[in-house]
Amino acid sequence: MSMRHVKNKNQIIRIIRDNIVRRGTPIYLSRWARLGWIEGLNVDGEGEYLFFTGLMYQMTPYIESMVSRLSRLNKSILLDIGSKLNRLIDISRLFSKVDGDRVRHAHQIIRSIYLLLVNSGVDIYYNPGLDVYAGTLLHDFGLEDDLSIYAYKVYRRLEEVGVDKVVTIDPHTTYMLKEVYPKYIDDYSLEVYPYIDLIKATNSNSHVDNKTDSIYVIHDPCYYARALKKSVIYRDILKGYGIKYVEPRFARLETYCCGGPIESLSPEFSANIASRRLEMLRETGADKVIVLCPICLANLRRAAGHQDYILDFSEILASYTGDKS
Amino acid sequence: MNRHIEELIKLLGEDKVSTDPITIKLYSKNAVYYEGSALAAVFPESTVDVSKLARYAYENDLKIYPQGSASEIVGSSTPREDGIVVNFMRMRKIKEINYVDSYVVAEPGVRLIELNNVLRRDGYMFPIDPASIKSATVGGAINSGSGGMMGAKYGTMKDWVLGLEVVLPDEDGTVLRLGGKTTKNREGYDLIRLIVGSEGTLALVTESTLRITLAPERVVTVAGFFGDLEDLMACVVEIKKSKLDVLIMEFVDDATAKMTVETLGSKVVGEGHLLITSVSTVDEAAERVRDALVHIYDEAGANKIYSALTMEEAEDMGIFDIRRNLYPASIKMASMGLRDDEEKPYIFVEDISVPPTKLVEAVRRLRNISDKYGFPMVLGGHVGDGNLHPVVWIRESERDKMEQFNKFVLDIMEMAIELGGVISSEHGIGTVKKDGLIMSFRSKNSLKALRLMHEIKKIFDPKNILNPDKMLPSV
Amino acid sequence: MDGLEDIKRDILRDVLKCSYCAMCEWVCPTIDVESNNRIYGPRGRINLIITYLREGIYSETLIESIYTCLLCMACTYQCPAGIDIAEDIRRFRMILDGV
Repeated sequence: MSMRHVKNKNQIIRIIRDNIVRRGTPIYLSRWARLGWIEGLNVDGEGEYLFFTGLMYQMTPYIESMVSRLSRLNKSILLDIGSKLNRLIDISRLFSKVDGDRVRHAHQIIRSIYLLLVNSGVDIYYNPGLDVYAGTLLHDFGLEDDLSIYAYKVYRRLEEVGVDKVVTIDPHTTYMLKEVYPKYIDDYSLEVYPYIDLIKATNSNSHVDNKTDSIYVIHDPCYYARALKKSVIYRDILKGYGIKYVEPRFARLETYCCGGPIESLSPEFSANIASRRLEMLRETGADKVIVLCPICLANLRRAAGHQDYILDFSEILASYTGDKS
Repeated sequence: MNRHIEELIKLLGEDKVSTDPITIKLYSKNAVYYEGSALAAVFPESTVDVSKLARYAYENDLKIYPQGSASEIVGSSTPREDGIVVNFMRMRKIKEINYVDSYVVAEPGVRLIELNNVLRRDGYMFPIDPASIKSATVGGAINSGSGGMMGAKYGTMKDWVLGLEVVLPDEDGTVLRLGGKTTKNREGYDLIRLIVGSEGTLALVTESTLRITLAPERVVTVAGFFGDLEDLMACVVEIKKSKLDVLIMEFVDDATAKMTVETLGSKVVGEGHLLITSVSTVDEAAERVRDALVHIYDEAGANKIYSALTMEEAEDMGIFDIRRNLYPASIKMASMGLRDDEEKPYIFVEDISVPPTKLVEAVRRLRNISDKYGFPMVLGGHVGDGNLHPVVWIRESERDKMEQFNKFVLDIMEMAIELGGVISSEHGIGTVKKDGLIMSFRSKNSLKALRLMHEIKKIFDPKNILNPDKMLPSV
Repeated sequence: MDGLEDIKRDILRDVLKCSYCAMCEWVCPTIDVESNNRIYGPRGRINLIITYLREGIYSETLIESIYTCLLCMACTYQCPAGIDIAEDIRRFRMILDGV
């Protein structure tokens, strides 16, 4: 038995680690990708809940681009040099040519979530300087020392300006801020709310004529369904909106991971898992798939080969409320 | 490299044979801490693969140790260093589902839960539901003769196999097709039921045709606690007389129920022994059935009664938690107060059956035995069919007590025999219960039956290469 | 923060509860896609951790097994012994990181 799937582990972990620690994200992210979702929105600078994207949705187009390049890059000697060079220059910039449509799609999802919150009467505000990556990969790779320093920095920055409540938009960031950070930081008092906890479970704009008869299939994200026990909440919201959905094999507590978490170390394996999951979702006969996590969105979309089959929960709701921007 | 390995690789292909010691280690253990070793782990993908393998093994006197998920707890699936472990979990297709004729055709590596998840979508089920349903495979369940919670109504594996495709360990790697797709079949000796429960000692199962049945439209469940075991048994008798269609009837003794609640928590709590009864019915009759059951529990003197009109409701209420948690509770208790944090608890689940009318006596005597030896015991079981599962454990550091422990287990088996029961109900004999087997046949003055079994083994496996030294004690 | 030795002991204490029952495997995507190869399942991972921590057995198989885990926690919710499987695997990466 040799290494069939895990390739260039040390080099890749080194690159990702250095990027997070030195530059704040595991992969290069342009300013436009990071903040473009704000364009045309009237975003408050003050309020009750800090809107905290955690940059995960913004990163998905970059991850997709990097993963497809990584799967082709088998010369570990190049990676070896690259991983050392990366301390000086961000080599992930070399992979930073991304599909603009994917970035715009991510922006649209974030905007949808923002507007769903606003229209649900949640008093949110945004501060780009406080909105950072939560460090999920440091946690996944078991880089405990780095994570404890990183988490401390993120938290202190929020604490210094008096942030006490944040609303998060993806399961991984939610899990980090809600469940992981408290283990590393004494006197941690941040209140963390995933947006699905705060938005109204009914369509506030029912006069919008939605003609779609689409039947959806829910792909539960691991961390919402298991660690955070949220699988009932988003189903109730779908019911409240009158959106028809079916369940696939392996749902709720038993949901089947999209394969995304190992995309950096084992890109092909990750893709095989996504294909397998996609088969299960397709066999339900549903028209479209609902996802609630940027990693699932990217990984299943890559496996599906086209964009329209995999939709984020927030975009579907937005299409019903007329908040689609 | 061992010459067999090279040949096997030539025969089957490199990706079906592993010599990686770490991989072999993972295929050499079972769920009761038995650890063997093997020359290689082999992963056939078809009947043809298995046939080639059997022929090669016959020609070269190589031992074959077949296994599924190795979740058995008697030692029937673990290999030895004189042979290869043959794992069937790559053969995992459900080949056909036929609702009109009520059967499925499945390869041996399909897990029972996977089979049921497919069938349940269409309102059907395969009713053999061992506690290991999530891990047990079709092939493993056939070879172990598995049962489950619904045993009182649906029997065990032997009642649900219509047809088998098997490979014999002979000079041709002969493929035999036994039985068929019909419930009725009187074609000579019943070789199928000989192979069911044979623990991989007679033939290699490569495909099976299994009967399936409708899933109940509605399942109503009532649970209650009884201060007195006699009252609980009176309740069982009344339920049996009531002509209700009992699906599940489970029991947990008072001390165990209390310990389980204390160690793992439970939404269902009460004083005394716990009796859980599930009845199969139709939607229209659900409330009537529930009321009738509650009435019987009440009359019999249950001090706390819980009821649920659907299986979902029962799950939400946690009605089955105490019964299901027997095993986790044992692990938890066995781990409590260990002197060394890194010490491993060894847990054994006993598997005797007595006629249900002898249950009160059996429980009383089990407790006496436990007191006599001073080993702690957790006790529950299937009241419907008289199958009891006393769970006992010993710690890694207590190996010196092993002899005492074995005596303790022998006493339990002896008690079952005295009450007209059996020493193994659904787990099998493997390597751990051979003494019990002798004890049981001797008590009936029928040791010759064991010699017959040896002769049968010889006919199927003349060179004794298939799972040797499992199940049959030397006589 | 605990030292590595404490972490090792914590992990070992938890994984030793494994009785090899395999109830965790049916929900695991990686063992599913890898045709039920135990190296890619939670039971295999937990037991490779045990052999490393108790017997010091290190191999490429161990790395392959531990770093293909998705940490999706499907197994954790199946374990009748209550082993925190995904978390043990994640924390075990801390130990491997230095090897």
